[in-house]
Amino acid sequence: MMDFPLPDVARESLKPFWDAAASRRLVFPRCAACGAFCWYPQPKCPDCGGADFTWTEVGGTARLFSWVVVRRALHAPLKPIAPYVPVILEFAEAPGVRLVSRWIGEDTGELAIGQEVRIAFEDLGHPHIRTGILAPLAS
Amino acid sequence: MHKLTYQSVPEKTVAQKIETRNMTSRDWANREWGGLVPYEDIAGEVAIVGVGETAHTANSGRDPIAMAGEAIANALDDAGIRPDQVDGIMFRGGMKDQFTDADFRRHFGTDRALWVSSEGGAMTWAGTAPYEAALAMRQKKASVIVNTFTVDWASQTKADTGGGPGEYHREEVMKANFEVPFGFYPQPVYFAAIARRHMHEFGTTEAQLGAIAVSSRRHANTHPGAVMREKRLTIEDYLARPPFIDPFRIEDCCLISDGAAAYVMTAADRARDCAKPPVIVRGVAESFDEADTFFAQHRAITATPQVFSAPAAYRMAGIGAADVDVLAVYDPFTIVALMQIEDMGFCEKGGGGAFVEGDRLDFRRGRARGGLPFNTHGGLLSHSYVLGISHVVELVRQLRGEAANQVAAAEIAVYGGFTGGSCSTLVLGKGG
Repeated sequence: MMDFPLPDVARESLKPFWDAAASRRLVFPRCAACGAFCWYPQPKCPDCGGADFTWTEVGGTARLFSWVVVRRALHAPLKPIAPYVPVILEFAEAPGVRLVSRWIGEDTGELAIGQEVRIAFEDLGHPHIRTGILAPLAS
Repeated sequence: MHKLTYQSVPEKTVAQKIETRNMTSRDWANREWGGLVPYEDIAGEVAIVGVGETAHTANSGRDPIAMAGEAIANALDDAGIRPDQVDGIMFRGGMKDQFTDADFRRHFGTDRALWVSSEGGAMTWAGTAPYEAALAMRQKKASVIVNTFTVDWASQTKADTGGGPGEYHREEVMKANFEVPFGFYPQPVYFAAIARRHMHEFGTTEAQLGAIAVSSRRHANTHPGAVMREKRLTIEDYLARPPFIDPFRIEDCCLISDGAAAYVMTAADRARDCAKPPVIVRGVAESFDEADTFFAQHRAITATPQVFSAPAAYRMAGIGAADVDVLAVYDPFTIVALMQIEDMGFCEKGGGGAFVEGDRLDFRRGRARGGLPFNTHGGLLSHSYVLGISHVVELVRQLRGEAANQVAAAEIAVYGGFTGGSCSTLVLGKGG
């Protein structure tokens, strides 16, 4: 049951993201030198080489960049949440960031690229299993 | 030879990627999301003189090293070359159970020291191995070089041993932490998301993706080596199939099979001594995407690095896309085939959907009648999953005139290799 794929929330380079999610906030690393958002977390800014990042909060809405309906999970540990809808989201406030998330709203049939979605902090396994990890999901 | 580190998406590119309609390959090539690996001109220096495969099957329990040995023996026999004449071997480093120089000596009972390169194998490297071989031949490090790839992922998947095509992605730190926990895994999910974007940006339809699956299956149906040779697929069958990983049906996804393949290279001026007509490497190029295989972060998510490598390989070969008689591209999913057909200049960017409809890709139609004979063995979708090296084997057979689905008067053949983070383009010509 709990072989569900969990993030390593204590890993140093990723901890700020998951700590923020635990308090229902969404943050991304932003280069202190040039202001570029750098996602995924990495040691140096690819734009300017800066090594200092400020984890910067973004608001609760995003745009749907793409989505997939997984009717049958190919990876056994993901079967408890199937069928499910992985999404890729973009943020007006964090240009260049694409967040992989999961749609937990109704009406999958009415999803459209470019539509605005709301970030909902729910358990990663919502609503099927409880992992104890709050994550930014989409509805 | 080219090592990439992951880089994220600069701010300025967000606006760039919004409007992609009506862009030509040339426009795409001017973007900063990827580039070309610098290559020296090796046009005409290397020939492929022998090709060989094993049977391609579902889970077989066969040993991958033994399979590679069988494929190499077949390739050497095809070339009329004895194992003790081989002085170089190429395989894929970093992938499990590949056939190394030690395996070669053990399998063929020779004690000869071999030039060794771990930059061979399949995928992108089935296209770039001839380049590495050309440099080795120039430097007199080797003169008869075997490139091989072997895979038993059908058996591993069946046995649930943890191996298989997803392992690399699942174990990558960022994917493991920011993608897999959200269910964005494995590859069919990545490429279904990309297909959705292609549909959005260019109006591509599911039936158009289906046209690639159907054409590949028809080729497999008349190819003796194809895993799917007995299984028919019409466009009506395709459209009636249930949703799988929307917008993909299962038929949009490649097979997983066990098997191996190999090809043998020599200097072009030595190739006439071999058993079969030589096939000459006329052009080769390698390209990359800055975002590597972090597909969700690809800036030009509906394009492939073929926009960089295809023009470079054509230039080295002194040809254009219009001169290509038969094309084989790495086709893990229908959408990857479609994007590469566009990015290699066979139609305008975004026009691939309409281009591949009907019998355009059928081997019988040919370029003279507006066709593009494509994956004439059935590709990864319907022939086998040896990750593209059988594509090169098929093109060699086409240029010799001994293919199962023979394209009339084929003189130029092109392979498009792909890993997701890189591409290669290999231009082969019929030897004189």
